[in-house]
Amino acid sequence: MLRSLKFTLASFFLTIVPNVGLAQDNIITLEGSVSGGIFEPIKIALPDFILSSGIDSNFMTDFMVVLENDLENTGLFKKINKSAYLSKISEFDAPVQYSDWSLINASVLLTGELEQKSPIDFEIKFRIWDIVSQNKLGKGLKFEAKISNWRRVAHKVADEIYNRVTGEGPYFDSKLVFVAESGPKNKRVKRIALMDQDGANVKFLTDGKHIVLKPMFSPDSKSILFTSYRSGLPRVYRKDLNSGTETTFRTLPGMTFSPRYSPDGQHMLLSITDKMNTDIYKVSLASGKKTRLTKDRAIDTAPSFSPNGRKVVFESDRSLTQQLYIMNSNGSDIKRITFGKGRYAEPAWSPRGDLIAFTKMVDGFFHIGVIKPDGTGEKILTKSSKDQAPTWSPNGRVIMFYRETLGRRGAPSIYMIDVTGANLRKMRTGSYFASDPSWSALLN
Amino acid sequence: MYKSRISLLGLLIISLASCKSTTGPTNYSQTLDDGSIKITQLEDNKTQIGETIYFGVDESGINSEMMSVLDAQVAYLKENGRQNITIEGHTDEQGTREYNLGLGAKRSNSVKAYMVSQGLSTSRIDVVTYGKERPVSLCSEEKCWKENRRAVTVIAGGFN
Repeated sequence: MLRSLKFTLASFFLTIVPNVGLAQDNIITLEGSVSGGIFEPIKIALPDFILSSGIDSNFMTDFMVVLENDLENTGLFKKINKSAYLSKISEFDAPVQYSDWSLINASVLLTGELEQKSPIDFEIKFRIWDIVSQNKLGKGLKFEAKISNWRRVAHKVADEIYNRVTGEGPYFDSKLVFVAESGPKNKRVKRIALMDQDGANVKFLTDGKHIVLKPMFSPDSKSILFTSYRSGLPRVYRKDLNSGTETTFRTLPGMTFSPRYSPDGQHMLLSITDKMNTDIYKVSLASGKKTRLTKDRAIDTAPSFSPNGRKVVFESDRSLTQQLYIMNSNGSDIKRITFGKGRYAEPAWSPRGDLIAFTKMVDGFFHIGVIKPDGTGEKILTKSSKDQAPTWSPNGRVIMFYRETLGRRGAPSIYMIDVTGANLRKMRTGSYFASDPSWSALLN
Repeated sequence: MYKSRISLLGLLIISLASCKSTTGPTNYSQTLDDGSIKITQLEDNKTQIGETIYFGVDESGINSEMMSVLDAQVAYLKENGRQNITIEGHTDEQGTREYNLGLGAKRSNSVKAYMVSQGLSTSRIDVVTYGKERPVSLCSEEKCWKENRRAVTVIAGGFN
């Protein structure tokens, strides 16, 4: 059976072409589109891993669930139920019976072996198979890690599958920093919190005594910048995630907010308010030395560096309503890039550099959208009474944002959507409301 | 109003006390003894001084209605020369977080600039923006939003 899969995801300008079956010359192309409603996820078989000394099946099941959820949450993969499997993997290095897996319509197969190496260490060996073209999909790998780190290892295995099958960069082994909110709307308790990309391991970084806003990950994922009212005024702080140490920026006057790291991690951009005016400054994290980048009397805020650090996109109401502008990173050559109906705010430059995500407000609705840095190709991805604050996955394929419900009991939750506009889904954040997400880079 | 009564009463007590310690109560009866009637016009009783002024969408300018509230605040502060104030700038929940921080800062600084123009010392006025973080009215309709687009003058113990 000559068969291959080519998924064209929701038109626009981004396409995922799975690598599965590309070894075949004579292929029948099965095209699906999410917007057309005939998209078929890639079917993956995930038979039990072989368990060597010390590993029990509960551990394997937990490991599998993390991996499966990562893959299925993308909307690109669908696990085939174990009850359908015709064979099991009994020896890791034995040849794979392709026909057993193609008969149940699997396109991809994962085989693996788990082994405990010491009371605190384990390893996993795995291979990924292209059942369609009956080939290994890349070389097998072995990951060795502390048992306590098992969730990250599961994310890394899922990342390998995602990367090899779709050709897209990995992103499952990453974290989010966000604002966990609780209590009534007029007495909201807000805490900076950290969690894994899949919502696990929630950890609070601030105590909730003061309003905190918009945390932002450093490029190395080892620290965050955020705004706190600890001093009575909104002020930017840096927190080292390993030591927990918080740094203030004494060289900066008055009210500061909206911090964002430079790609090299050496500087931050932020807004400083001086009397009626809010402008964007670049500040050296080592010396605290500040350079003013914008001088307009308008509210200039929400800056975001391009991945190469040469440009900055920001929002300004200098033309009466909020619009997006791009300037050189020294503040020169400011150009407006949005001219559509409505207001544009909170730009976030994709780590791929190709797109800028934004919040758009028009006709009483809020949207998350993307636009090319030259101001063309605007595409609206979401619509609700309140969608705000986009942040990018490390591979530039997925956008996370928060959606807030209206009214007295209105509250925010974090959502994700593919850059194609497909696969909108809500993050689990336990009993907490959640806003202001910031996605880390891929962890090492 | 209470405060003014209390302070008048305070003055009276102080003057009585000073009378006692110097010339004694006979002074008091002396002023009535000559049969004349002294008439003094009283100040109007004080109206409540508002703490809050309200803004239109995206606006931060001070109009005449706001001025009358702020003028009363300034007059009070001039009389009570030691008290410092903090002006909080707030916005409604429409709009994005950073923009609203910027807008709240415009509102509080706009109030400060007006007060300074009316002769209040700049060193007595602190400003803070809360953006949309501290709503007082919680519905998601204009009737609530207009109550949240505000600048609040905060003084220890309150006005009046």
